[in-house]
Amino acid sequence: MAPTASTRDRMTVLAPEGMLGYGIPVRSMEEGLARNPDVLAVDAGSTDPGPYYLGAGVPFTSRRAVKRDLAMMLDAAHARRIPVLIGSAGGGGGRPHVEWLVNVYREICRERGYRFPTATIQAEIDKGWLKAKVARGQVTPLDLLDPLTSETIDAATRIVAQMGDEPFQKALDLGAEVVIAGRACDASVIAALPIRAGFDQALAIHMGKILECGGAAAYPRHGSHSGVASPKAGD
Amino acid sequence: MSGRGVRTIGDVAQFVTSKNAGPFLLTLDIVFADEATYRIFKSVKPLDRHVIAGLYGIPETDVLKIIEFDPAYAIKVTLRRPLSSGGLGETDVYGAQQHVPLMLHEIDWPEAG
Repeated sequence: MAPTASTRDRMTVLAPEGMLGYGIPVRSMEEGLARNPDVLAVDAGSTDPGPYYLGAGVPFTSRRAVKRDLAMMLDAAHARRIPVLIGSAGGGGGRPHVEWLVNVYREICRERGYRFPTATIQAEIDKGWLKAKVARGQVTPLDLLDPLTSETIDAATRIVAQMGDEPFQKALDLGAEVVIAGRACDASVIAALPIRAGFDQALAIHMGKILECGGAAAYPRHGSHSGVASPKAGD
Repeated sequence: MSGRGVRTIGDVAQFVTSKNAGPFLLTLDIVFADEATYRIFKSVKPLDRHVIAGLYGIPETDVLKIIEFDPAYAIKVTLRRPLSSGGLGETDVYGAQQHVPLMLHEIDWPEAG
């Protein structure tokens, strides 16, 4: 594969791995960086491990592994002046999860002398606000037809909403070079910069869906590996 | 062993797998190695809501979708989970160990010819 160069008509997105903290192989990252990416975008969360981690406010990945992977990404971002976008920080993407990742991030920046304009985006929503929405009939269920009730809301320890690409774009508009966001659609994290640059939104989200698990969409199938995509204008 | 003309789904598929699909759904995938086997499976029509509900001990209304996906030579079945992922009393958070009843289900199978 030839190295790709970014133009107005082409953009390159590097997803260094499928989940922040899964352990980016050095060679995989190098191969990705050799394609001259315009952005490093990574998903850091999942609903797969169940609700415990969200409720307890703790990550499901190891701090040491997350620090190692994030440092690799920040080294590349610092050397190349390209943004880093992270969605569903800390796994669950609640307030304590975002704070946990920001703490890791600050530690790396202190140790290496990095100073990036940084945005954090919270995703927790207020129970009272949500109950008012339910009372006004403004909540519709996904997938199944079980309605959300105020009892379910009261029983929840913590509630997060899933953001799309728009908050990432806003953070970039405000000058952020590192964005650490709470619960976010994994495909939107990957797609945010191309959409902001004017590439077709549907195509960019489709690209994001393929890349959100990093190398898991390719053979040999490893979610810890990097994935690269280059949308072209007119595609 | 299976009798003549009878196979388990696990015998004829390349693999049978299960996985959570969000906290409330479970997805079962039957993937075939080649188009010919997939076409035979489709022609036998061994699966419907009644059969799957029986295999999993759930109401037929909780068998939400049975999808034949030709490009992947695969059948996907979506179930409502009896207990949500990680809920009290639930024993398979990832839903990754729920494929066995489907895998061991015996179906009529024409002899290769």
